Amino acid sequence: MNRYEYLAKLKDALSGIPDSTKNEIVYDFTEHFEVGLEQGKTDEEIAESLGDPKANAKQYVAEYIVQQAHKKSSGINVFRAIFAAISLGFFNLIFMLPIFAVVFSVIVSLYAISFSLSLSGIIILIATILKPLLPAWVSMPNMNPLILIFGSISITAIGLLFGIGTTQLTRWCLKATAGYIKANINIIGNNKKESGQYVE
Amino acid sequence: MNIQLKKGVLELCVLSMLTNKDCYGYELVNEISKNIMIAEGTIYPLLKRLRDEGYLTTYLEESREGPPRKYYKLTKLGISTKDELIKEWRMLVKGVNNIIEKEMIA
Repeated sequence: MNRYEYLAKLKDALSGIPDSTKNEIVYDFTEHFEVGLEQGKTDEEIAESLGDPKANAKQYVAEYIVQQAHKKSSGINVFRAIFAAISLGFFNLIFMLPIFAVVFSVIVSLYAISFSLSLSGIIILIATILKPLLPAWVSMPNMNPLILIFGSISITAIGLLFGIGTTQLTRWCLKATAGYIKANINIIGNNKKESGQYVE
Repeated sequence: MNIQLKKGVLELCVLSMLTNKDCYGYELVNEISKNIMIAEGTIYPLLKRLRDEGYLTTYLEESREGPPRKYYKLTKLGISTKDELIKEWRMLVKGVNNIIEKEMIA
């Protein structure tokens, strides 16, 4: 593989990274080829010891994705980071899937609780107000309407607070996941198979 | 070489090499790959990350023999991190050696 083939493969595999960063990366490798040439090495030798361009690109891409996820821990960014980490062989999909399924279902159920609390409060409130107007349509336990009104408002408020808490929790989970991946991904990239000549 | 072991060790190597003088990419890669078995291309993503995280800065300098070269320089954060890492590394090596020696005698 000569220098141009190597750089083209590298650049091809750097998908998703902004152009300015891409150019910078290609610059670094170009400089490496040029200095190597001055030292009397051939393009082929240099390409060989650099290792698979795709594996090197993968490391940049994964680091970029993880960086983005850490900067802005939105659901999508964090999921991309998880998959980037899996593709680097850092996480095992079989191992991670149950953990994410559990976390995901816990969060979904917390949202469901918040939603049903808020909704039932609102419904009680509406029913209490409608009862005197449409006595034939609404059947309510015989309780003091004031208790019902304040009770329903409190239930809705508790539901909403619960929702806010869950949102915080979700945000925290995303941030923690992004941070965890970031701390672990550093040099994992060129695994043994990909950096062929250095298998021991 | 074990991937998990490589992590951190390479960081330490890069930071240590920059203690006394600034280096350009090829110098760093060449010296490290002389001593440690790695695919040389893995050093460049590492350099970029160390720079993104503020341990290194870069500047271009003309070279007599060819195109300008990108030099890497330690920042204050880089220096303190390096000192910390070296301390941890020495402790780790000492600890591991203690265990190995003990097992060899037994």
